[in-house]
Amino acid sequence: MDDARSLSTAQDAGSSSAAPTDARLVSEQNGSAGDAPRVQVAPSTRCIQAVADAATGLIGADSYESLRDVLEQACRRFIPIDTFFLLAYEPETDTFRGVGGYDDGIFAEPSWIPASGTPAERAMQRRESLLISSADDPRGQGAILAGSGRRSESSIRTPVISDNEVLGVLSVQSYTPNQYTQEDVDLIEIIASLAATAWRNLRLVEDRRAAEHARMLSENRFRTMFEQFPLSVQIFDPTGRTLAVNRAWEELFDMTLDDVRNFNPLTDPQLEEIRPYLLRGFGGEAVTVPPHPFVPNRISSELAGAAGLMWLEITVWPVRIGFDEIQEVIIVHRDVTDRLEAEEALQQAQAELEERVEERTAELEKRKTELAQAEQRFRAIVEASPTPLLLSSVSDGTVLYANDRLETLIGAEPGSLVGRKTPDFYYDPTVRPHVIENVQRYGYIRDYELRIKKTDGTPKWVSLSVQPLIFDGVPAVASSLLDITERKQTEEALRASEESYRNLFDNLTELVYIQALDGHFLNVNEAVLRAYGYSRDELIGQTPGILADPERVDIEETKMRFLKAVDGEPQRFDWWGRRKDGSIFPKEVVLTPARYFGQDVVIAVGRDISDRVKADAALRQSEEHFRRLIENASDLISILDAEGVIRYESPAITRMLGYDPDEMIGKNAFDFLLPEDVESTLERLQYVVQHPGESVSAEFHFRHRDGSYRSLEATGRTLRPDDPSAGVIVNSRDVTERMESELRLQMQKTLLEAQGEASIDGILVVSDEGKILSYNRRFVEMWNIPDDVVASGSDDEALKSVIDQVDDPDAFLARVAYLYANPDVEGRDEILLNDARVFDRYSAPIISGEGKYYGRIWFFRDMTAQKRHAEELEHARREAEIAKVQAEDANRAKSQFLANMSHELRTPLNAIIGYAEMLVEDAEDIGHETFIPDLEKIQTAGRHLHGLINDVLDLSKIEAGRMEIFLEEVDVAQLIDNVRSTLHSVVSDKNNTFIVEQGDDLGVIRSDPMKVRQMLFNLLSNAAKFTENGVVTLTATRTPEDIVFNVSDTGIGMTREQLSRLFQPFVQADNSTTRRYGGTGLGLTITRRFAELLGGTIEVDSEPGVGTTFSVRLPLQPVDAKRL
Amino acid sequence: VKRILLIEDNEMSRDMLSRRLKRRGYGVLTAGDGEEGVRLAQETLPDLVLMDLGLPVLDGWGACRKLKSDESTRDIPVIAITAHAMAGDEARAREVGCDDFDTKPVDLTRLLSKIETLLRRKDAAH
Repeated sequence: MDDARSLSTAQDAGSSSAAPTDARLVSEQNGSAGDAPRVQVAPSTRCIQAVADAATGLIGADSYESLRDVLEQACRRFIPIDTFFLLAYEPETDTFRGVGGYDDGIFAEPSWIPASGTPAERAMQRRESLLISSADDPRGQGAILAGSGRRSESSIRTPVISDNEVLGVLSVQSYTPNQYTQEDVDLIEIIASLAATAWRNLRLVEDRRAAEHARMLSENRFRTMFEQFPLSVQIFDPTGRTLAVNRAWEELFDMTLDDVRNFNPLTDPQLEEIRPYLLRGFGGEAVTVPPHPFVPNRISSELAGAAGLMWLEITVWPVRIGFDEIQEVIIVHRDVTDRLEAEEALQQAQAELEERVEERTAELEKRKTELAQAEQRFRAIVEASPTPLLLSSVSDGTVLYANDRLETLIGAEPGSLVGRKTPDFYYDPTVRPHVIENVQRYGYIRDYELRIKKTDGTPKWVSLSVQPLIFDGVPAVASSLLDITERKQTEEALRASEESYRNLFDNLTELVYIQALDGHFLNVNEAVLRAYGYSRDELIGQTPGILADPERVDIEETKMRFLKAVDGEPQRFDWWGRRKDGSIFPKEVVLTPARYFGQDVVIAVGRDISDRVKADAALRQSEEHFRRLIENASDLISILDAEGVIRYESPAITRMLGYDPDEMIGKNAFDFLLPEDVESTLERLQYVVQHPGESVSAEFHFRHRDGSYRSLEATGRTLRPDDPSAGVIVNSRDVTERMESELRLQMQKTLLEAQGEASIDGILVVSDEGKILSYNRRFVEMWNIPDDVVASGSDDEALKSVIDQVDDPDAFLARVAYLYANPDVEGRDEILLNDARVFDRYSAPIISGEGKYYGRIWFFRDMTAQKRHAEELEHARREAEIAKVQAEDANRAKSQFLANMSHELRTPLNAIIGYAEMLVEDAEDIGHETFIPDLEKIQTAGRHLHGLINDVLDLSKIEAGRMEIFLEEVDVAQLIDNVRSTLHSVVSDKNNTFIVEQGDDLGVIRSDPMKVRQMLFNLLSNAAKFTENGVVTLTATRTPEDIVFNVSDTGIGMTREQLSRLFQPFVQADNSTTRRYGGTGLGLTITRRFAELLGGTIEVDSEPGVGTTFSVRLPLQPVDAKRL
Repeated sequence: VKRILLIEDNEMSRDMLSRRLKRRGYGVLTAGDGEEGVRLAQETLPDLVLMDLGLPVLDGWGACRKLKSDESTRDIPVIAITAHAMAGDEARAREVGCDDFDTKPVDLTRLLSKIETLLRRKDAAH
């Protein structure tokens, strides 16, 4: 395009003009220049052609660019040109505007170039062409350079002048010096004149075009604004016809201009409401219509408000030109929905706010009133409160109020607390942050225990409760302080007490158990854990059963004792514990009811008594066995003092005399004697007391509990041989038995008499006609027969009156009928009555000596009591049986004890005898002969004791059933030989002759040789003991069944009575013999028991003053060795 | 000199019997319980043992059984002595190998004769 080619050069190419030329010159040199397209024509012709070419082009040129192109082409046809400019001059700014041309094909942007100082200005000012042929020509200085920056050598610059006004400069240039001639100048001047005319025309065209452009531009702007205007705009002509609408309008109403061609706002009924405004607008007044609702369409719905409506504000603008009549009316619609809604919301919010403020105010007022009332009430309460109270400010703890109780508590002067600070009252300042923190966290405090400081500085324990409140309009806290000093002290003491209790509890060597009332352990002390090897956890909750040795402890009894303790009766008893490892130990237990931490419990305290048990074992066993011996002895054993006051009675007294042993203690025995017996018996007692160690017998009658007297045979002696004050022990035996048989006879006789008197049986005599002949009172009483019935004398009537009392009336009547029908029959039967009585009925016919039958006699005996008695008797018999078995058991136990005791006694005795023997030997060695007799007495006494013990032991073993026999073949002759040699010296001791007679056929028996030997020892030494200057003979003979040993002496002999007691233990023929002859009194007993053990017998025959013979028979073969 | 080992736990009995035996020319060793007795017998090989039966640690029957089952002490005669005069005691003592039996209190004459008899029998066996 031309614009692209129109070069606005930076430099004036004209600077290279060699020499100034005027227009005339130019024209003179016309046609002298031109390159390839250049037409070589004569100057005149050339000029005409140039003008013609140019004129054609110039007429068509409608812009400077096209003008310039036409000029350049015209010029280049006739002269050589390197650079061509058409410079338009702007006089206002004194500048050139390059409107075209280019420099060596290099385009330059059109630009404004200052005109001053350039060759073009010079040409313009001179109003003549300027011809320059060399770059050195000064007239060419300041030339505008073309885009190449290259200076031209030759140039022609010709002013373009029209109507005397210089319009610009036409400039052609060449880099070749002396290129242009005057002819060229002429040509250029002609073209310039043509250009001037074209240029003027062009300027006119330019102006009209600019005006049109401006109008177009203005309209475009308006149109764009109109279209893009955000508000809906509608343009009307003054009659109300719509001329135009913008896009916003179309969107708002969802319509196009065509839709409103026939719509007239001045007449349309829809716009009735706003018509006045519209009329005013169309009347020439700018009017704004208040917002009114509008139902939005599909496009504008998104603009709708919450109510689904749009609110439009309409502005009406009349448009006038000058002050003439109205040309157009513009109506603008503004959507104010949002604004309205916002306003409405704002209003609503404001209203609500106001309402709430009012409510709030009212509430506050109410609160204030209530607070004032509460405060008044509170004050009243506080003043009267018995609790120390304090009000203090929250901020710094200033005391606002304190009641007099608080002043008293804290020891302050009345009224002196107000104004002080609460921190002063904390005894421990570190507590206060806790208090405050609790108030802040929970809003209050209840029963917080702390120490306050009294005014004298001493601490005091209080329980603090704090409640926040407003006091006199100030945030405050109300504190109540309860004085708990006393309680604290008590607690402290309790704690100390508990502590010491616990220490005590665990450090006790006694075993302590705390048991709940159901028996389970609540706690046990350390000693228990040590003693049993259990941990505390294993025991707590358990019952004592876990600790008991089941072999030795009767758990039921333990429970019973526990229950007694629970009932408040402390218990003490021995018990056997079993450790965790199974070992056992004895202990003593005391159960005591107690309180333990507010609970009823039983405290059991146990003590390990293993040591005591071991130490006392023998003693206890001894006591036990002696006691049993005494208590189970069939004889009554009593201990009396010298006056006869009873100190002890063995249980046998119950059986024998009907008394309880305990009730007799303290009573005088003589009060129970038959009065006739008192004197003689008292004498005996006195004798015993005066002769300690001597036994005395007596017989007397002792009153039974039932009032009867029993014949007792008693033996008494002092309890201790050396000390009568220890009392007298009396062994009594009931000898009433023989008396009793007499008594029974007596009773039977009496019974018979009583029968004869008809006082026991009910008797009825009935004639053969059935008439009552006789009856006794008993009969009537037994059968409870009314007097008038018996008085009637009719047996039938009597029967009728009793029949209902009988258990089986039919059998009863049948029996009666049978007996009456058979006069010769005697009958006896039992009748059971409804009331459980039992009658024995006996009936016999009454027949005279001549055999005449008179009738019948009936006996009725009430057997009820007898029956019951018989049952009781049977029961008693069984009891007695059991008691007997028990007594026998006890006896065995006693024997066992004696065996043990004998053994224990023998060991020290062994030493006594042995050392005595040694001393005798020592004395002999060193010649102290005088000691020897005494030492030998020790030996003798020792041996005697030894013998005693051996006998006791043997007897005990026999009675305990522990004497074993060892049967073997025994050569009897050899045995006798052995006995003879062993005992010869003993038997011969008192100048006695010892004779042994034995057959040749003794042979062998099966027996226990040790026992046989001992029997013979016993019998022989016994015989020797009671014989002096006499003969002791041992004979042995064999019969087909047995061997008989006879031991006979010529000693003192025995009476019958002595013989009867001979084989009883500890009894010798006479008590006095013990003193005279020594011995244990056990030898014969043992001998007899041995004989029995070996299946044999022993017999004795004696005559006082003549001698005694014992015979022992032993079977050749013991068939059934008896054990006792 | 014949050496007798007296095994007896009762101090008085031991003292008394050992002195009386020494007086009669025997060499006497003593032990207070069965175990010690067996050990002494094995170490000293005495000519005879007097053995109380009721001994602590190891009773007389046990001690005797040990002596009689040991090659070195088997031929030493043992006299059992007991305060238990139970017939069973002697039988049991003989069961475990005791050569003789006596009871307390000791009748020294009787015991000496038993000792002499056993020592003679032992010498003869050799």
